[in-house]
Amino acid sequence: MGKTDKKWLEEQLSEWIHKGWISAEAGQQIRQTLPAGPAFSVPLLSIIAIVGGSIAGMVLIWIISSLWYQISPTARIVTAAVFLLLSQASVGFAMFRDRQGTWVGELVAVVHALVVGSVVAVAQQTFYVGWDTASFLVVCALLCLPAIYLLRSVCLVVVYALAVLCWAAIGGPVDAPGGAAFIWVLLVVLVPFYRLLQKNQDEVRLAIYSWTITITVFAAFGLAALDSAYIPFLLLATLAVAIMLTGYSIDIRKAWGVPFRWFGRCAAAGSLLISALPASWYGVADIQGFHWTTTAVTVVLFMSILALLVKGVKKRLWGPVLYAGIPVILAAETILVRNGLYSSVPLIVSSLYLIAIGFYEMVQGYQGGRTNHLKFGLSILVCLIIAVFWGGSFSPLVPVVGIIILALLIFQIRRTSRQRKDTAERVRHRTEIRHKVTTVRSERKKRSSHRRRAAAPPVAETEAAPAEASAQEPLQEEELPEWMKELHLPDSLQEPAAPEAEIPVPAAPRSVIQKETEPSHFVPPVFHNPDDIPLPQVTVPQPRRAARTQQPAKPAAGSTSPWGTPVAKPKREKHFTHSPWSTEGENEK
Amino acid sequence: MKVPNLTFSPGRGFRWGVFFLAAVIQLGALGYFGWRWHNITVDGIPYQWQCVPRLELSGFGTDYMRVVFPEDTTTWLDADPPEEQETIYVHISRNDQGLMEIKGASASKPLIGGDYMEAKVVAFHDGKVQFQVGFDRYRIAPDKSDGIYDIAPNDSVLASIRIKHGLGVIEGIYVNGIPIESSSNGAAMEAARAKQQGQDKTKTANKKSLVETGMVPPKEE
Repeated sequence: MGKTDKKWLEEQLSEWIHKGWISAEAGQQIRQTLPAGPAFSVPLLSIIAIVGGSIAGMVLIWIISSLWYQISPTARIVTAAVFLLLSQASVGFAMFRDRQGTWVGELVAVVHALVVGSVVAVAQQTFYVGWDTASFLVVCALLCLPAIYLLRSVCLVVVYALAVLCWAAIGGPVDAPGGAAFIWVLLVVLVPFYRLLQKNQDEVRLAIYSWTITITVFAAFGLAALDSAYIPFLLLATLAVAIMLTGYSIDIRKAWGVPFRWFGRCAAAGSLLISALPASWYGVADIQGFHWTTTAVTVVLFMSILALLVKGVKKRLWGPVLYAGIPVILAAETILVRNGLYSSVPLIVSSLYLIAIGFYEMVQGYQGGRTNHLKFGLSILVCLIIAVFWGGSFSPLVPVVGIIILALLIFQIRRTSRQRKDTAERVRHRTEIRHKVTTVRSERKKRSSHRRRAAAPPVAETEAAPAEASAQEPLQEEELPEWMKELHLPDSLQEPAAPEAEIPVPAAPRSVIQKETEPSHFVPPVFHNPDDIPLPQVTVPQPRRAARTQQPAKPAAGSTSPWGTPVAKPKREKHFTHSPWSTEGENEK
Repeated sequence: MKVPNLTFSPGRGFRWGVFFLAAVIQLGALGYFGWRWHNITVDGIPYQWQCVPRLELSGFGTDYMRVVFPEDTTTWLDADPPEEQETIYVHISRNDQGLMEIKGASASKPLIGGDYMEAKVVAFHDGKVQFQVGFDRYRIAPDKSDGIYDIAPNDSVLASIRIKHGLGVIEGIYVNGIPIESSSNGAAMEAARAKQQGQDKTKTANKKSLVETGMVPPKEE
C-alpha cells in the first residue's frame, strides 16, 4: 500500500467514524491492521535530482568554458540578450497573470535578478575594459529595481539590500557620485515600496521589508562610516530617531513597526554613548568642515523628525520626545566643539542624558511589565559604565554614583506615590463601605470561589471535590462577621453547596484568570405526561333559573370576607353640635 | 506640517510602460558595453606600454592572460592626498618612439589636449601614488598562451593599447616586436599544419597545372 493510499484511507476512516458508520474502536482496529510506514522517509529522488543537476551544471560550465574562446563576442552578447529577453518575458507574463506579491512572483523576480547579473557579467567580461565589482553590483541592483515594484517582490528587496551592503563594504561609496550620500539614494528608492505594501495590506512582506531595510540602513551606515575621518554620530542619532518615530507612527500591534522602533532606539542610545567618549570628538573638532551631503541629509532628517512628532506620533508622547532630544543635544554639543569650546560639558551632558534614558526604560519595563525595556535600560547603564572605563575621561565612579543617586531618587518617588495611592484608597474604602447583606454575601462568594479555584484539583481528582467542599462549609460560617451570624437565611436562599461542590472545576491555566461564573436564572421547564393532563370538560349552558339556584349561599352575618355581601350597618343617631365659631361676629353686628 | 505621501500605485498602463522602459534600459546596458569596447578599439589613441604578462589560473580555464604594468607609480599632482581604491586620472603622453610616458596623477581630468587614463589608487606615500589600471587582460587562445614561457628577462615586452576617455583596450602583446601568440606551440603547430597544407596545395596545384584547361594535350603520332 502506497503512502497516498494509506493517507486516503485514514481520512476516510475519520469521516466514517464522524458519520457514525463505524465505531471508534473499529476504526482503531482497522488502523492497526494497516502496514506501518517508515518513520522518516528520505527524499532519495530529490537528493539524487539535486546532486545530479549540480554535477550536470558543473559539466556544462566546464564544457562552455573550454569552448569559450571559440565563441565569438557577437555570439556571446546575442545569447546573453536572448536570455535577458526570456527573463523579461517571464516578468511580463507574471504581471499579465497578476502574480504580483505571490510566491510565483517572488520566484520570477529572483530568477530575473540572477539572469540580469549573469548577462551583465558576460557582457562586461566579453567587452573588457576593466572589472569593478562595486560598479557591477550597483549596476545590477539598479537594473533589477523596477522588478521589485512590478512584481511586488520582497525577496528581490533582500537581494537588492545585500547588493547595496556588498557595494558599501568593498568601498563603492568612494567613487560613487556624492560619496556616501549615494547610499541614501540607493536606499531611498525603496521607500515607496513600503507604501505599496501597505496599500495592499501585505503584512508578511511588510514585516520582512521593515526588518531588511532597518538592518540594511544601519549596516550600510556603519560600513560607510568606516572610511570616514570622524564618527558621524550626529547623523546616526538623527537617522535613528527618524526611524524610531516612523516605527511609533505605525500601529503598535503591527509586527513591522518593531524593527523600526527597536533598531532606532538602540542606534539613538548608541550614538549618545559614542558621544560620551572624548575620542569621538577629536575627529569632529579636527575636520575642516562637514560635507554638504552630510549636512543636507541631517537637516532633512531633522525636518522629518519634526513632521513625525507633529503628525505621526500621537498616542505615545514621552518616549519619542525623550529620544528626539538626543539629536538636539548632539547638535548643540557639536556646535560647541566646532566653535572651539573644548570642555567636558558634552561628555557630561551626554552621560547624564543617557543615564536618564536608561532609567526611563527601566521604569517603563518595571511598571508595564515589559522586560525588554527593563533589559534595554540595564544594558544602557552597563554600556555607559564600560564606555567610561574604556574611555578613561573621568573617574568611572561618577556614572556609578549618578546611577545610584538616580535609582534612590526614583525609588523614593515611587514609594511616595504608592503611599499616597494607598491612603487615597483607604479613605475611599472607608467612605464607600456599606455592611449590607448583599455586599457581605457577595464578598463571601468571591472569597469562597477564589479559594475553590485555588484549591481546585486536577480533572482526575474531581471525585474528592464534594468532600472538600463540605469540609470547607464550617470555615465559611466562621468567617462570617459577628452581626451576620445571628441572621437566619431561609433554605431556599442558601447556596446549594452540594451541587456546586459536585461540579468539577477545571484546572485553570496559570497565565489565564478564569472568569467567575454567574449563577444562572434559568428555570428548567417541567414536561408532563400527556395522560396526566386533564382533558377540557364540555360545559352545557344552564338555564338562568338553575343558575340562580346554583348561586353561592350568602355568607353568614358577621363574616369578615371583603368579597362577602356587606351587612347593613345600624343607623347611627346624629348629634348635631354647634360650632363655637357659628355665632362669631353676630355680637359685633 | 504635512508629511508627503510617497505612494507608488501605478495604474495598469503606467505599470506596463515602466516594464517596457526597464526592458529597454536593460537591453540598452548590454548594447552600451559592446559599443564602448568597439568605440575604444576603433577611435582610441594607440600607445605602447611596457608590460609583464602572467598566466591566469582557473579551475575552468580562461581565454585571457593577465597583464601587469610595472610602471605603476607616479607623482601625485594634487594637494589633497587620495584615498585607497579611489578613481584617479593618470596624465599620459607619447614620446617619439610611440611609447607611453606618465606625467603624473590627480583626482581631476587634465585640461583640454592632455590624454589620461583612469586608475584606482593602490597606495599613497610621500607624494607618490601607486595605481592600477583597469585594462589588465589580454584575450588569447588557450593553446597559444604558452609563448609566455619563452620570454627572457632582457626581452622587450610591450602592450599595444588603445585609450579613449580614460578607458583602454589591449590590442596585442609583442615580445621583441613579435606577437606573443607567434612564439607558442599552438602557433608552431598551426604553421606546420599550414605548411603541410601548403605542400599539399602545391602538389594539387602542380597536378592541376598538368590538366589545365588552357593546355592542349599533344596529339598522338
